[in-house]
Amino acid sequence: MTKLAERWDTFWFAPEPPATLGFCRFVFFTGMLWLQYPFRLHTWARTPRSYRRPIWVFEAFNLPFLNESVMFVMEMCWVAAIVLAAVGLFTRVATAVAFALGFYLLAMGNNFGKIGHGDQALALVMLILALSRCGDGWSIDAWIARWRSGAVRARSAEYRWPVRMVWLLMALIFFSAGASKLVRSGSAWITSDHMAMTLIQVHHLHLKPPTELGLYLARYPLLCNVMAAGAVALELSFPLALMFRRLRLPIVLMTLLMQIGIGLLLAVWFRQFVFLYVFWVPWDRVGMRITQMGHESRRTGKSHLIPVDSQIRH
Amino acid sequence: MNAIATSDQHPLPDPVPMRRSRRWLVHALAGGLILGHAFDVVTRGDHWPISSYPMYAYLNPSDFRVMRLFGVTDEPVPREIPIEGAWLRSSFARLKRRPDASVRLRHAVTSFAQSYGWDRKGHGARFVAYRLYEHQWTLKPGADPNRRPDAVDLLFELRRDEATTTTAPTMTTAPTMTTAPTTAKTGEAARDEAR
Repeated sequence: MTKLAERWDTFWFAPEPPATLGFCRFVFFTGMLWLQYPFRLHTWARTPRSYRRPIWVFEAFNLPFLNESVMFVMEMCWVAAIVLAAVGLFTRVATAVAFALGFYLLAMGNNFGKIGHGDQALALVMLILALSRCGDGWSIDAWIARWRSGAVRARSAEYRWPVRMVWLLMALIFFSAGASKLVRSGSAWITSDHMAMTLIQVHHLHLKPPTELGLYLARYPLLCNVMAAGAVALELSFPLALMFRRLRLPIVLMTLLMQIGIGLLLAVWFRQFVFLYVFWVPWDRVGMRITQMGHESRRTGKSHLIPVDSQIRH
Repeated sequence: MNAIATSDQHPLPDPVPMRRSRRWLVHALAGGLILGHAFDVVTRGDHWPISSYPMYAYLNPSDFRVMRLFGVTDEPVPREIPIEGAWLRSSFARLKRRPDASVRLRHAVTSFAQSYGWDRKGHGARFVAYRLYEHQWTLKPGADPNRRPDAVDLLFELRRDEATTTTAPTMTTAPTMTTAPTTAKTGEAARDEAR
């Protein structure tokens, strides 16, 4: 029991340098700008009242449906907060404002009969970053602090838990997706012609997949069953990536490839997840390795690649 | 091969220990996320931003039906321009299952026209009408994906001249609906939302 508690504690709170979290913050909020461009969330205010089907958070907290001009101002403030959060200026305030405004704006589009399943992860990651000290690395705030005091931020658990929380979030998302398939449709989700029908069906919608590979695959029922089984197995096994270090790379990489496959076969691109995968890369070590390679090549006068397995482990 | 991995086994001592309250915050957040997702999976719920992520979780039958809204241009040879949106499709599908579907769908198309008007950017022409169809395909492996629907039902047409004279236009086309009257969230309704 003590060993389990120790593992749990280490998982969340082993000290880390601020670089990985800071770089993830920079990439995540920069990605948010790209995802939201050209900033049209305020136009949800035009959606007729008769289409409204408020989600629980709007009902529970009695959130109002604001008019378009108010939402436009909110969205512009949100964009400003995202820019500040990305560059790391007034980071604590910027991330808090980005979460508060983003939560409302991203939630708004889900009040009209269709709940999307991409943006909610963004809202939760913004919450995690707002509660974290993500401005201590890769930020103007950190640069100013270093310039004033000359001190470099020490390793801390504060820079580890937010990254691990994003890992947990992703594990829950994929596990829930896999479990939902079995809870709602049982083994028929794998053994029936559901996958084949899904692959064909999307070709009758306006937004067609970029390839006709799905139509080809749909001709082979057994192959479709294997694909369905593989998808459910991968989704259900994602939490193992949290527990077993050796499984992290294969599971995360295969899940990324699965999502690319979904985009190619079904025209559903979970673009939001690109900026969640960033949290799985130990950027501080990547930075160290690049620096090391630079030193090596200067010393030897030629490019020198360091074997990955010989990297220094902290 | 361990680029995506950090060491869990030999952590250095934390030079700046976290406050106890901050640690509890982390535990509470992790616990909330785990319990929230577990609750939604078990109850098949969707409590934004927590969810059971039911994308494609319901079985797709070979009989595929989709509600689609089109704008009809005022050109010499009118064209039907599809107006796409997952929220529109699932809203129409939900309304069609209600006992008062014809009234609801009429109101939905009318309010859509009132909110978004009769000009749609990028199409170069004004709309003279909105048409709401239900398209049906029987899905078959190997069939031409570009083939026309096996059945096309025009559920409702809202003409611009009608819409400008009255806010509650009468239907120009009788709906050919066979509704399964219910106001509760059926499996079918949940499936529409989960797509």
